[in-house]
Amino acid sequence: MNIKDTLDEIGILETNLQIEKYIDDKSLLNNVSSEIPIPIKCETKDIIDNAMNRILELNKKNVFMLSNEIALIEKMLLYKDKIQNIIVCLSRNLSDEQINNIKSNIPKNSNVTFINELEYPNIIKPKDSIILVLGYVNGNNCIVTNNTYRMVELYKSFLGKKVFVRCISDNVKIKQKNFISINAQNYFDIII
Amino acid sequence: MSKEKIKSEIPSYLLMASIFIVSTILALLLNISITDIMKDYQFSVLIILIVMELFTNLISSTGMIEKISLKISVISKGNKKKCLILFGLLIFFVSAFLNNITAVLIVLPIIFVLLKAIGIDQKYVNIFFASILALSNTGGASSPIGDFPAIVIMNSGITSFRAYLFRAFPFFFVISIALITWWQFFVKEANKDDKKKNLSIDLLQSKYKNIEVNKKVVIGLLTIFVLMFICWSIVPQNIIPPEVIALLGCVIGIVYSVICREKIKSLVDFKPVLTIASFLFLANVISHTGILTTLANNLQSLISNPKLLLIAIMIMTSLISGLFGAGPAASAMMPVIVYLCETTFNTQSDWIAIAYASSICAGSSLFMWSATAGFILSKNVNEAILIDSTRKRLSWNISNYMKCGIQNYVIQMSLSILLIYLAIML
Repeated sequence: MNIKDTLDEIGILETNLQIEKYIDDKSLLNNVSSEIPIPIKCETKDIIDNAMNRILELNKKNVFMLSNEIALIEKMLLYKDKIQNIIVCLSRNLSDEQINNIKSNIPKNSNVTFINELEYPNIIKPKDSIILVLGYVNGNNCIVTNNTYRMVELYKSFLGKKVFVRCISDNVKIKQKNFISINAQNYFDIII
Repeated sequence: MSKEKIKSEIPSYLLMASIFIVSTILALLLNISITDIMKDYQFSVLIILIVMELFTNLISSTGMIEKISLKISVISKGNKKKCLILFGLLIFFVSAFLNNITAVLIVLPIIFVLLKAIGIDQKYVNIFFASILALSNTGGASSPIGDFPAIVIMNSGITSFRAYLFRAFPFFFVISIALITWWQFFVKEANKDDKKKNLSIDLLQSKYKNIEVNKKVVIGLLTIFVLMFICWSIVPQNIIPPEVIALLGCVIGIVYSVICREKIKSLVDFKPVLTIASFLFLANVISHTGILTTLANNLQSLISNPKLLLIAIMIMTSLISGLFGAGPAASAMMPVIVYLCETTFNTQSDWIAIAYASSICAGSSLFMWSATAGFILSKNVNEAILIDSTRKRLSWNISNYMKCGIQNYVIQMSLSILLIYLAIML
């Protein structure tokens, strides 16, 4: 089971939603936790709802996401009148097949567009847009995947709000590969 | 196209060019008129091949095949035997009516994700993909438009579309069931970790949860396809040739898809078409030398018993198909079969067509290089980076397939001979 590839294709929140179905199976959770941090209680749905409310409060019409989070994207699509454009940045480490799967897995007739890493979406302006990053939190640090960290550095010159959504409410200590801890204050304006 | 891809394609294009050049030199040396060869050239076969690939692209654009593959993954619950049986049957049915290589390539990504999820070993990889290869061959042979040899048979005039379909489909379905039954005996469920498999399948479902099948387009295309089948069955070939029906159906399908605002993958891979074009040319040149008629005559005089003669031809055809590929075998042996249908077997030509198709099919399951899908499937399997429980990389190549290929061949050949014998006796 390659959880890392799954995270790249469907995002942390959707992965957590599926893992939560097996929250009582300790041995399975032990197995999965060797690859990614996992929730210890069923809270992802509330996290998504809360994140959505906070994003709507910011009153921005464009959301630039640095990873493909289909659970949150599906939620945002319910508010097309408020969030007019969702732009997802695709990591250059994704294979052609993964990119194809990601693009096909977006609901049809949605306002979601994709750009490749290193490109810059022209419609993103500080007054009407936010950058959205998802990961985990440990104290004053945010924990993101390697791919996401690279993009956080790439787009850190953006003058608008940079928002971080924590996908697990508890603090997470990294013991898995492919994750990096970064100082929250240096990179993000809002932690949800 | 990247430099690496171009480099890897060069040998195949060199082979095509060599076949054309050698055939032309042979014709010139033997004083055979190239004009005469081109008059008999089966352009209709190439047209049908191209058109059916375009139609397959239309169907694949709807997402229907991915959705069915996903459903199979969920139903199987990660059970290895169920995966083998259900995907095997899917490949058979899809290959029967669509271009079998394209059909396999559409299903493969979901198969790979599922295999990575359920935990596999080298033995299972060998069995699973050996079955898939054999079933894509039997599926392709089960309908007159399923693959190149079937199209050549339909165009030869020894049987009609309907006669071939009503005989071939149940015939190859029985052989497919036999193959699946055989291989599933060797599949053992070692890892009973159901919850892990269930989680893997849930994650797989998430990867495809928003893929929507455009039902309007699917129903429209299936209706057009059924009408094409009806026309092929009832309209005489000398009034409206089958390639014209194929072309009409495909154009109507494209227009309908465009009207329904469906994005169409319009690319056709011309490499297999050009390869087949070169085989057809070579076969035509050989046919004009008269050597095949002499071969047929010699066989008839050597073996007076028609049933033994048929078995000998079946075995010979299957071995040529196995050694040189289904395409060259189909092109080369067709004139022999036509001659025999006009003489010894003139009252049983419909079943001789099936015997011929089944021999080519069995031969094309013998070695990995015998079927066009063999190397394509191998390349995709090796690029998928499948690993076992000890994290050892699993591969699938000529040597892995050898043992399974021989078994596929023996099962297909022996059943074919038995069923044809029973059919002719009855």
